[in-house]
Amino acid sequence: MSPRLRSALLRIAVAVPTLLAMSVFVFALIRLVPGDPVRTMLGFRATPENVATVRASLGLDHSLATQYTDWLRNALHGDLGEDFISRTPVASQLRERLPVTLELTLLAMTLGTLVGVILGVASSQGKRATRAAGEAVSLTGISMPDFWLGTLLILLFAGTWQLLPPSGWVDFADDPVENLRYLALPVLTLAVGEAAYILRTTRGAMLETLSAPFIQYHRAKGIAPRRIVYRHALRSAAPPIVTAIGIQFGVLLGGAIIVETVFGLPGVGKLVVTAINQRNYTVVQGAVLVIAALFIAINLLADLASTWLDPRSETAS
Amino acid sequence: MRGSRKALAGAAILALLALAGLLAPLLAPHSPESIDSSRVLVGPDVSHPFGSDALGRDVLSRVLYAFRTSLGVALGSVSLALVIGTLLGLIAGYFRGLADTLIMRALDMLLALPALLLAISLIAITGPGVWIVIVAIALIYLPIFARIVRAAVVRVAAEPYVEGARARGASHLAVLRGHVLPNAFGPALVQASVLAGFAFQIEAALSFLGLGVRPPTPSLGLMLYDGYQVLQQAWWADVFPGIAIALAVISFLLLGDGLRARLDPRGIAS
Amino acid sequence: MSLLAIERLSVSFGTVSALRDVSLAIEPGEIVGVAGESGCGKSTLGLAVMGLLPPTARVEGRIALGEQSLTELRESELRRLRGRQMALIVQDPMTALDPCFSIGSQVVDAIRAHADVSRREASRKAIELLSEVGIPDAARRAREIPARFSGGMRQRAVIACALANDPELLIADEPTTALDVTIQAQVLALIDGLRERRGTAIMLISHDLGVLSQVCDRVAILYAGQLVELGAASQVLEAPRHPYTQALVSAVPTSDHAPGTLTTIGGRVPDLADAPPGCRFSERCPVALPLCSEVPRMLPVGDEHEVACWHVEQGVAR
Repeated sequence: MSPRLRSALLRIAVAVPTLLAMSVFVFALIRLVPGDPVRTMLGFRATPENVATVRASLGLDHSLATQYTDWLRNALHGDLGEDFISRTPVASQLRERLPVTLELTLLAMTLGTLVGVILGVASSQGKRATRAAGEAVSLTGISMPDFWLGTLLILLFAGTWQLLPPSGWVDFADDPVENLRYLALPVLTLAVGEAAYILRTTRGAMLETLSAPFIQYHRAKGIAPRRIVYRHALRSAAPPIVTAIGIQFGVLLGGAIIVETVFGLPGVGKLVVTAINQRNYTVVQGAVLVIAALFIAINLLADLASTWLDPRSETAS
Repeated sequence: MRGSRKALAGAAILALLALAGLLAPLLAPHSPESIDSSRVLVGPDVSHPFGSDALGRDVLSRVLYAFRTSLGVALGSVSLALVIGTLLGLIAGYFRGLADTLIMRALDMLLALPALLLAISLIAITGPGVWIVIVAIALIYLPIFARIVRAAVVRVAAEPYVEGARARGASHLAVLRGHVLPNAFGPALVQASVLAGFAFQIEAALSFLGLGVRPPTPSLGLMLYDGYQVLQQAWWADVFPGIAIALAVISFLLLGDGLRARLDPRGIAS
Repeated sequence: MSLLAIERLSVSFGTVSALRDVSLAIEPGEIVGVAGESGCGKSTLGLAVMGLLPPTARVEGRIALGEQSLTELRESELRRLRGRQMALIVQDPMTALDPCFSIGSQVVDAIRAHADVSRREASRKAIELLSEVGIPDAARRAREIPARFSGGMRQRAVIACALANDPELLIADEPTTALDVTIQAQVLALIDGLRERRGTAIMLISHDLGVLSQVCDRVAILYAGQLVELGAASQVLEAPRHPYTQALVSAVPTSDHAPGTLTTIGGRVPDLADAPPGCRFSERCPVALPLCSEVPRMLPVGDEHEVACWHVEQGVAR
């Protein structure tokens, strides 16, 4: 087995206990609620019959181990229980809302990465002023709370200039142009922080690579400076940048929770906030599970890509 | 040189902000709670430089008091995470073996959730409140500190002088206190400064969602929520608290960057 | 006309004077050794010719390659000469190759940086070059990344990159220093063979007089940034005239030496930020004169043999 393949399998193997631990945590969510979670959850609807139904459906009368294995088995089969307020399956709500969150975060990731890498490379080059400008831009982008930036964008684009809608949603399938108009501000909001962070990582990795002897040797061969920067240096700087994209996806998902609330997007993030305020624990559980699994998956992908891009992994023992 | 200039700039802004927050009762031109129906959503003027909000309260006074709360949350959560994380990192890195595996694997699990989701899940169980926000942010930061301290400990413990101290009969505790801790402290402090800045953002996000600090305690996140409600009529209610957060984050980041040059030359905390 | 003409070259970094008034010419097809201790400016000399000194370096004097005055060219014009008319072989083959690209593609890159040929054509030529420098099974190994190559094989690959566009001048900076002794001899033979087959002129920079004596036509000795002696390799290395060269040659351990009788040079290399004003060796020179605080000229002491030493100047005058 090649070292690269072995390290890839190892990373996948490590993700399994992580997923399991995360599932235990999500399972425990309801059970950790102080007092009787069922009564808390049902509130004024807590008639004796309702309470009995919910208790039975959560399996609260069984041992914890049985509860967990039953819950996990159902979850793996796509059954995340019932929303006891709207009396609909949690899984179907998530299926409806996940595409919104995915579209939002993946677009923000793509835009932020593109801008961040381009600016990061630019600010690793050139004069001191360029570098200082890059640093200032990234510092500003990182320091602004993302949802606050969102509100400022609403103020300008939706208020003063009336260019884009302040909130709401149209499905891509129904009207792609309107869909993008509704997504423009939320994506921009998330992309600014993403770009700032990727800029920082890119600049750091590029500065390190550009001082490597092999870059000097590319110059000695008379290879064009632009080609050295974009083909050779960027290629060597890629692994840490890709890893950063994966880690930063967690920030994007966290940002989505709040940005969906600000812009009224019907995504998983808005769902989880509403559900917490309504003490709708089965929905909270389902949403947390989905977001966390998504994060673990993207992180794993980024890790694998980073390993695959790193030539040292080819020969490492 | 550049590093120390940055640290100085960061420390200076930070000192000003902290002073303004601490001295809020003296500096605030008005009471943060006093409702004035004649000044509902009135823009900035001489008596109210940051304008007034939907209840006619003075935004400047509220920013000062809110900054105090947010700073307290940031420092509280970072201190909590620093102390516990350092302890766990020391144990894991110094004794290695099973303790190491158990502690670090358990902490890794915390990193498996997006930070904000971890905080929100915790608050879903307990309900909101200032103390819960502090604990939630500390929980996010805990594994970061433990990792840094553990890395420093593992490196230092391999140094010949530590072995020498052990050979001379120094106790575990003496070695930890005398050799290991001083070496781990720099990188941890650098990270603490950076994370204190981000704590402002997390507090703001949680409070904005109604999952953090609860009224009537003033916080910058709550002010952003109030400002968001009246965004189209009164930009000042949204803009000034946001700038306060951004300034706080920038100054903590600058301080961290500057300290890194001095306290963490190997770049462990990056 | 000389292929390479270095005239009164001085290089300084801030207050550090790395090279002072160095003049040296290399003829087509000639191998000239440049020797001296570490920090004497050997590598700076090579980089100055390639135009690869960091932007902080201040360069005075003139360097000409054929008809072109390199010191007057802009960076973009210089780049078109690098790798085409003059090429560099660096000391450490472990770090000189791009870890992310296959050996073959790096040679292809070097070819296509200057020659307008198809990728396929370049790739065919790259495999030819890799075979020429002694990489067995070149077609297959060209697809591997540097990490799969041993030190000696990497140095061969670096040489293949340098030869990509058949340069007239090759600057080899300690090409064998990082290699095992047995590999050293092979690489040296390879470099020597290049001149035979291609007529490439070579500036061979090395601290190892043994290496230089094997392949060089002429040898230049640098001390603390000053050229102290220049001449046919046999004369400079067997009958050195400068006290420094004499000390350097006698410090080379040979099989004739009785065990425990290694010769060393007393004193230390001067701080280049505060070097003596005249002959920079004067502080350590066993036969220094008061005159030595003035800069000595290079004077001929025989056929193709020049020395910068006041003893020689006085001897000539007398």
